[in-house]
Amino acid sequence: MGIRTVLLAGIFFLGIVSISYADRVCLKKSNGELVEYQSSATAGTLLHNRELEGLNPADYEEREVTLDQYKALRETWIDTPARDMRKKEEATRMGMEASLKAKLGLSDKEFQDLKEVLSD
Amino acid sequence: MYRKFKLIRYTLTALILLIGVRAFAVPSNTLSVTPAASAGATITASDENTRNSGISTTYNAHSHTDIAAMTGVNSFTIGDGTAGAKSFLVDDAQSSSPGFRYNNAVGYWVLSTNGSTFDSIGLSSGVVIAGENTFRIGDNTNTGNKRLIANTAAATDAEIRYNVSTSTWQFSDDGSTFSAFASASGAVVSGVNTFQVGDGTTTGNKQIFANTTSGAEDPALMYDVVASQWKLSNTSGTYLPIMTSAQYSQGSFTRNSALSSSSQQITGVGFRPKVVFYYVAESQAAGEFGMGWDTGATRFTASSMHNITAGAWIFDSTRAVRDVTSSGNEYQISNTTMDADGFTTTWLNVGTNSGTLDIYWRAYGN
Repeated sequence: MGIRTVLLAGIFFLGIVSISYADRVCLKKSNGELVEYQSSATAGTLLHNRELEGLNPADYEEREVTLDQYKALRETWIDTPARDMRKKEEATRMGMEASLKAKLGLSDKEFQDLKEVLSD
Repeated sequence: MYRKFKLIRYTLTALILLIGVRAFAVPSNTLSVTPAASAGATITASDENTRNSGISTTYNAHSHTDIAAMTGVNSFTIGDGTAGAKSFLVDDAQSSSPGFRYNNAVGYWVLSTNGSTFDSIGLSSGVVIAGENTFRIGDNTNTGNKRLIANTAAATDAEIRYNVSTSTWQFSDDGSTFSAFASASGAVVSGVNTFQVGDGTTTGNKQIFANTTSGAEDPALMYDVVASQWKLSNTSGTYLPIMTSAQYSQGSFTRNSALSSSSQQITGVGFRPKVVFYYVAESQAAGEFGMGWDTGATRFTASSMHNITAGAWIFDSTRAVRDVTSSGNEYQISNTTMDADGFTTTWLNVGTNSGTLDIYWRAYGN
């Protein structure tokens, strides 16, 4: 191993350890729930935010993640619940519309026209 | 016998007079004339001749040319004990004699090279040279700096000098460290790599002005000691920060809108932002989008009000973002404080909200 290799390896190592910014997530220890994500936070920031919210940081874990890891966590704790909620809201809305349409005795076309008029 | 005795006495007197004149370089201000006259005595021709001889011999031996004969005395006084100029003049065949004199009327010494115009050569009143536009100091060589030194009680006196090695004028407030004066050639400061302005305190802004005739406050470069920032003014004393570099950073974070009002710190920006731009949306939620910016002092948002009025927007100069869930239910950014490595967002929960907000930010600094 030449001196140049050693120097390059040292520079590379220093470069890695000097970069403290990273994608970080904050998870609730009890169930692994994703509480917060930051794209370039320094260590401790997310736990500090729990304090700012009046919570006990000891109940949470801050972790450095890759983007893929974040996407997986996000899918589990943000996007899937949001989609499920939207579906639930949509189902509720569809049920209400069907009930109203039946009570009003309107055809699909007439009910759609009514919706457009009301939305303007 | 009596005549012999008188002859011997006259001869001795004459010898003593002659020897005395030659022995003392400075002429005596006394002259004894012999034989002394006495009441009832007959004055003879011989007496007259003896007296004349004594006087003429002394007079002829008197010299005006050998001023070196003043050696041995520490003071030489001229003057008649009254007011008026006292002069030392040189007869060099000019119409007037040049020389120097004490001008009693003004109280200082004056000098003349033509016997007509006399200029001051230093005085107690502080005028160094009166009547002259040029004053030179130096030995007409390039060896040794030419120096003007303030005579004070300090260990080393303050000084102005011409440095013959660097060919620059320099000054020193302590007689030890010298700084260059500005050069007339256009360079602000020649011969040094650092130019400082200020009094060594953090009280009072440090300013460099352009000397113009604008009538208003001159354009200037100013270091604002409160803001710790360089600022620039082109006119009227209005100073704007200088952007020392184009700093910007971007990133994202999330916020659970069910949380009550509180702050959220964002780090890793890499500098203290001057302004942060926000783009906020809630995942999977129709109509929940807002964008805006915040400087910490001022802010503005254009946010969707679709969930209140379809297709409508709200513009608000008191918020950086308004995520509108429904009428009376909003999650807002009411303030942003700038930190050394990021910013802290103040969230305001109005009504009841839920869902996770995605916030994309871009920060600019200088």
